[in-house]
Amino acid sequence: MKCERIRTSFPEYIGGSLNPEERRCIEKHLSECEKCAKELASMSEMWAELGRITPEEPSPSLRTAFYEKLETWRAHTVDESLAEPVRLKRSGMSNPFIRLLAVSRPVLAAACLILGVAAGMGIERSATPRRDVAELRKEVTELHGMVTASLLNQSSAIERLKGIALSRQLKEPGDEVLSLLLLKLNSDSNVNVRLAAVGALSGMSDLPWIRAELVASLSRETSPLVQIALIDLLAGLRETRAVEVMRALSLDTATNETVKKHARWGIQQLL
Amino acid sequence: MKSYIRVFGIVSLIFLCTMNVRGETTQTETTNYTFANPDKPGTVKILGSGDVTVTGYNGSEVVVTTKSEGKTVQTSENDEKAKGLKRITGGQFHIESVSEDNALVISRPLTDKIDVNVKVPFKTSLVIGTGSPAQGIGSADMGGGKATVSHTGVIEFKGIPFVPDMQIPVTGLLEGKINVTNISGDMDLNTIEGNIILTDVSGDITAHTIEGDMTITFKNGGHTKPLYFSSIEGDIDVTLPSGTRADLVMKTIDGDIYSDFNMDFYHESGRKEDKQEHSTGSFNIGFINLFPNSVTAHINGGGSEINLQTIEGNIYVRKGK
Repeated sequence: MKCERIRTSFPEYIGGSLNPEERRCIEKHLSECEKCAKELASMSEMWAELGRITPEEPSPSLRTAFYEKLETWRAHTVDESLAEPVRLKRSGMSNPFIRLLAVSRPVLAAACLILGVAAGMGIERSATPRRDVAELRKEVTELHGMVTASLLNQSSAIERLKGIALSRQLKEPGDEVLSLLLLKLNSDSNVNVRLAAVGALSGMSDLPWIRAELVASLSRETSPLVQIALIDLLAGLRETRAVEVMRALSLDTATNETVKKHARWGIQQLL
Repeated sequence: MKSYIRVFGIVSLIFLCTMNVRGETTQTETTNYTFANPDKPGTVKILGSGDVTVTGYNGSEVVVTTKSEGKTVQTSENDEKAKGLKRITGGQFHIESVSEDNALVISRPLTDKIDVNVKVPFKTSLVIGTGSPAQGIGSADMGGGKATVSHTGVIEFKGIPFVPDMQIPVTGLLEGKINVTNISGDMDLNTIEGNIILTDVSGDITAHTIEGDMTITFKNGGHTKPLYFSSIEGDIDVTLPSGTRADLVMKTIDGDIYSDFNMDFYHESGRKEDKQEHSTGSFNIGFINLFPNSVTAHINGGGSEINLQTIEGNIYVRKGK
């Protein structure tokens, strides 16, 4: 229970707006509680990522869409003296990410910008202003998805790996993130990025179309490490459509010897 | 739209023409460069064939020494006919400063082997070689769009939902050993044939070699991003400071995994939330089994992910100081 209480103060802790006594209290707890320390680390990290995102140049249509949204928002908040995030904060909101958003206005501005960019990119989303916690939570999840998507598009392999790690924390990755992960798996020049993409997609492979894409990826992949990771995954998923591809791999003279053995093992698992 | 600025700095040429036993000459040449913005940590990118040695030092310049057998390294900078013109592209040895990225790009021919020895400020980031493409020359259909790999080494994305149309060059494969000492910047290292040896490094790293062994000694832990080390045919030998908090993801097909760390194994099914903690004192390979020969373990309570994967080699995770 103490952890819960401590965690509600993380946003202010990161923002540096706590008094020295509260700060000491949190730091004392962090030194004793690994789980809270981890939670804080993950939140700070997300915070830092948000700060690092380079703003995209908005297109004219995006601008229109953004202002339309802003107008809708205004129309619904005009009768309230307090901005919504502050009201939620007072009512004892416990989701730390949402409270993090409530702490400072620049962040809200950044969030609006990102949401606006997403709107411009054609991501389907509800036009009605968010009222309840569940919806706000959904919004934060979407924000997380967008941070992930932005990282996946970076030119640095290390940033792309970071994006893949973030994607694995998404409870329900959207189509954009899934498409980007598949794109990484199919065409990223960095072998480690492709390997990480297989790992992330393994947690999302309950969707039939993802499974079909994984089978197709195995037929195209050239790196033995990624081939083996895909064979393991498809065998684990009992994806029988992969048998033909594995057979072709095991017969291809260009295939690495260990991969051939592994493909034969995979076929045994599936038959 | 890249604007290339001319590299400024002191250029000192030292010719050491020595004869070796077989009568061939080894040409050595040293040149100093500075990053476009020397106050900020820069990036050194090295492409092409030959061994690479990078050492961190307490200075602000980048000192590049090239070594090649037989003939003088032909640089595009000393071409008289090109005076007053801007170099667009080419296959000769070339060093160029890209001010937008605060980067120094060292391009080497893919056919002639030229070894480079580079001294850089400690905090410099490194990009050495590029990975190998996922597929040979051809194209892949994706959600109505297409990803095409052209023979000129460019991947083109077109009409793929949610992905902007773009072209990404993938040329610049490196063949040779990579040896890095005393660097705290980020690293993206790739080689086809050659060992990767990293000593006293502390940045975020991704490294891949096809035929070589990998030996990494970390100076301190505390990584914020996942680290990836992979090899097809070689061993992966990592030494971490004893207090490093990390989640280790280790996989070998034909080899063994060894460690003197106390490991808490957990089940990794792809997502963090699905982790189930297992605690066991002994190192027992194969007890986690969605995938064969693959284990995931926390050390010192867990932390940022460190991925170690090889097909034919062994994995060693050692406790350092």
